Amino acid sequence: MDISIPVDPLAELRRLYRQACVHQFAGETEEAGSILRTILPARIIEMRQTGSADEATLQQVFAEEHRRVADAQLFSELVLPRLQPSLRLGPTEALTSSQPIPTASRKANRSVASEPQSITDMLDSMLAQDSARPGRR
Amino acid sequence: MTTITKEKPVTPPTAAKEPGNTTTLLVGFDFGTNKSCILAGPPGSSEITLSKIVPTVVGYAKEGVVNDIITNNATILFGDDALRHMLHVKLVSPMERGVISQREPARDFIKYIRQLIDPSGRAEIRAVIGVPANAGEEAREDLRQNVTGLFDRVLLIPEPFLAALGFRDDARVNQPGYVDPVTNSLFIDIGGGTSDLCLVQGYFPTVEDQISIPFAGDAMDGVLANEINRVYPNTGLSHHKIRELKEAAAYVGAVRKPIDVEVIVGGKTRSLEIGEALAKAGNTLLDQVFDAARTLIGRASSDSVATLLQNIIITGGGSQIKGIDTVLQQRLVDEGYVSPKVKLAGADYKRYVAIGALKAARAARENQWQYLLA
Repeated sequence: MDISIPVDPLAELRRLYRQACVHQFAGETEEAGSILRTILPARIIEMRQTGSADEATLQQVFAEEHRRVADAQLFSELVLPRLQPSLRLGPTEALTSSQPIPTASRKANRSVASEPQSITDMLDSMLAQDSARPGRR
Repeated sequence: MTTITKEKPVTPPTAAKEPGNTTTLLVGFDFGTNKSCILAGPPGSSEITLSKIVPTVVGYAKEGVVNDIITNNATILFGDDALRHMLHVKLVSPMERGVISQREPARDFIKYIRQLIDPSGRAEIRAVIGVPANAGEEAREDLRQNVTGLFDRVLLIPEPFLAALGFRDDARVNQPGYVDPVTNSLFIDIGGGTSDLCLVQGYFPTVEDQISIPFAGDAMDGVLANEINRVYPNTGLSHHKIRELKEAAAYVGAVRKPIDVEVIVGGKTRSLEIGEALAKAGNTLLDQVFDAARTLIGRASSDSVATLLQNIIITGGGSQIKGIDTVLQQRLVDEGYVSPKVKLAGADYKRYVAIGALKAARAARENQWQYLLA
């Protein structure tokens, strides 16, 4: 008996783009690139052909997922160091990441700070990055 | 005193600590491939209790060395002492390409450093240690394990970022006209094992802001040795001599000839022309640094890149290579970059990483220090 559930193409597109961002966060650039260069374009072409999404909707989906991942990054930078500040974190820390989002987005979003952060704040950022480092034990 | 004697074997100093009777010392430690720099001082003050540069080398006394040839009949020597006794010890470099390559010698070296920092063995040591940009987790874990039991709490921070912190003149940060290197600069730290480049733009650099190239002073030595051997086979020059020749005459850019040096081969003085060999060594490094700089400049946001190009700073031993600033700048100009300015960090190039590390140690909150779990 076929019990497969029909997948909403837009929801699937959303999931794929988010997955690409998460891979990028984890430093898995090959995996992210594979989705962005091959799987995602094929889905977009398919959706355009079937008329299931217009350009504006696609852009909105990408912007929303991008923002969610950026929020997650901010969360990890600000909150994680306070949760486990002076202990070396366990394996669960690999679930979070503060590594950069895809370069094009990062370049647009992260220009030079008008005032440099304090060294202490920079150390917070560093610890958040460290805790997200791939392969961290 | 830079030796450890048979009579006074090194024991982990933390063993001597007594609860309630410890002081804390903050340490900035640049654990370099060829040279290490250590700065230490108490928290809450700008006092420096130790400032020292030590060649990163350990010498293990050879069997059968006659009594008193080595001071106090030491079995292990460190730094300059080890180099002075190179005939009588087996020299080991515990670091390679910026990371620990030989664990036991590395541990011995850090024990020695610990003893320099705190001869009493009673202080709590909190050290900020420089690591190459993009150092992997294995290398970091090796370092943590090697300092466990010797240092109490640590922070590992990329070296070029520490160099920027160290280079920053804190007293002038708010003065008009002072260009704060931490606000927007490209730091290039050319050491013995790695050349590390880092965008420093007012926040802690991400992985993408840093590039580490496993080609630096030691690799230049390799190129120089190969070239000399190709032109003058069987000279048998030691690594030490090759490095000495490089440090005296390294340059980048168009070939300069003749550069004649005199060396002793088979007990006789021999003159070698090494202008071309030096050019090859220097320009091989420059090519790699230039490519990495181009990559990082390309990653800077468009509204910051013009200022960034005005603040390209070279530090580390590689900053002593003749012409490296002007030739790199010219290559950037030739590539079409707008008015790039490449500067040398200056006389304190050996200390900036450690200075930055001590600044970071002094700024770190209690809950930012990482414990070392044995």
